[in-house]
Amino acid sequence: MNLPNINGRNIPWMTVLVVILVLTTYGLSLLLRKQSECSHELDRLQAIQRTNRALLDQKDLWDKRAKWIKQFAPTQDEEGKTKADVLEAALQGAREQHLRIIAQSLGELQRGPACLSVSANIKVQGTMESLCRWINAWQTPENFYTVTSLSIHPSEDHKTVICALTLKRFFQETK
Amino acid sequence: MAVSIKSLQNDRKNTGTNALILPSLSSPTSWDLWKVSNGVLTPIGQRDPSQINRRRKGSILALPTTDVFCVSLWLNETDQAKFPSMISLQLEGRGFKLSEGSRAFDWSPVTFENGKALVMVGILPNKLLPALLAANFDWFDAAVRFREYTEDSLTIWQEQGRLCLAFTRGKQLVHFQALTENVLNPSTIRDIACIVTSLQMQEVLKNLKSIVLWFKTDPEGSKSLGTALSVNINSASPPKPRLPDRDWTLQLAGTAESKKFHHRLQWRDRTLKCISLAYGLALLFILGHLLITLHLISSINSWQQENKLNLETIHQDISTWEFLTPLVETKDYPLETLLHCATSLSPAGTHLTLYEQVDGNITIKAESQNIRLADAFLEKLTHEPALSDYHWVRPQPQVLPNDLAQFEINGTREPTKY
Repeated sequence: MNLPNINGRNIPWMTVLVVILVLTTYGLSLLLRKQSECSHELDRLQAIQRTNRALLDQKDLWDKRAKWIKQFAPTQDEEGKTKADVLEAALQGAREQHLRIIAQSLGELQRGPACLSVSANIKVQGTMESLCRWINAWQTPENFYTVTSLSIHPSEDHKTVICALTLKRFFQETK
Repeated sequence: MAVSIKSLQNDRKNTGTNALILPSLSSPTSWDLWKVSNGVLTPIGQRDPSQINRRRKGSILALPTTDVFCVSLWLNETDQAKFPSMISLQLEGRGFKLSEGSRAFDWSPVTFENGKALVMVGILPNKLLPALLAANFDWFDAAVRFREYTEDSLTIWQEQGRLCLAFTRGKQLVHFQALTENVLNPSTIRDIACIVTSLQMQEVLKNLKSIVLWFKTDPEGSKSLGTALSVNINSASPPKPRLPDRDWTLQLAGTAESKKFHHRLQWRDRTLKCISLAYGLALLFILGHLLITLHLISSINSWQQENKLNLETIHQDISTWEFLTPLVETKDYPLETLLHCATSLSPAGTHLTLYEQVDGNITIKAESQNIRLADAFLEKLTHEPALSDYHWVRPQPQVLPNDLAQFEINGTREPTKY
């Protein structure tokens, strides 16, 4: 019995299928690569968005902090005078607490975003109590003074201590 | 005694047949398609059998008279269960080669008389036209059986370009045959006369009363035929087809194999289509996922753009605040940390020889009366809540001969981040 030429009938369809398969396989690899890149990009962006959302939730806090700096931070006069003022303020305090001034020097001026700082290095000798009173006077954020480094060790007679510290004052940048 | 044939036959009005394909009587090459509904035939149109959906169940392809050979047989048996084997033997006796496993013939009882049965047998040829095979029907019927004929008559018509004859015995179709020519001429009239004589001699034809012509022919030809057979000749239009009372299921040898082959092809097609569909769906899914991802990226970028100004301001504020960290982080004031370190000293036995704090890193040099006191100091320092941010490291203390332990402790912590 002569069977119909079924294979022949399907050849065009199979050819089209093979061509489609080859093209779509190539397209699929491109598509998958693009999909992978996009997924990584999406993950990265979502992480950034989460962080940024958290920051935006704290916007009020940061606004208050910026306002506080703008309201209370001192402004810098002339650079040399400012440094001298910081050193003089430190020395004045030391004298008031009867501390013996061993060494003194002006520090560097550091610039930060919207702020700058001026420091002075002082080495004094005195009782622990006087020293604590003196240092405590500078630990007041309202005046924008702070002690950034401190080194204390007993003197040879063990009755007093020798202290070296860096006093720093912050100023807001004047535009 | 005649047995009621109808009582022996199946009612095929409820067999689920939904379409019938018959060779057209009006055109030698086309086929008529009829819709079957509750035993009623409604014409649908004309087409080629290969155009019929091969998967359509319940369709009947009725072969033209030229493709089915008819033999009318008297059987000395009225038990129809024995008919197939008897018919098979008679056909082989007459020289028909029937393939094993095929159902190349089917039959219909015409009458039962005196313990004998007259049956009309239709036999398939060994080969059919490729177009008919391609239609992939499970079985075939004979188109001649789907017409209604006059009682005790010979009906002649043109089908597939040839003259066809159908004989009735009473109301039952008893014999049919296709001639080689398609017009009534002396040759065909002689052939018809021979066939009639032969059938009468076999007592297949009992009483031929009339001849009915379903086609137009010249009067002389019809007159000659009437004279030759000594019966009246009438002309009429072919009647509308009707369903026979019983199915014929003529199968070519190898039809089952062909069906399996087609079945495998169907499954292959279905599998390929399923794979294609799954592939397409996967592509769509990936494409859709990509589009959604791109949309999300776009929306996040838009969101970032909308909040860019606010975020820049906040980042500026954070940078400024980080610059002010030594000022605003009061818990890291040197005097505060010195106080917390001093509270970790034992009541007696340990004293500091150096305290140094630079940029959040603490260096402590101390002496203890013994190593245990040095360890106790480190333990307390480590567990001091206010100094929990620091990581303390103490190299091995130096123990002097008088048990005095000199040691150094370094405390480091990560810079404060906002």
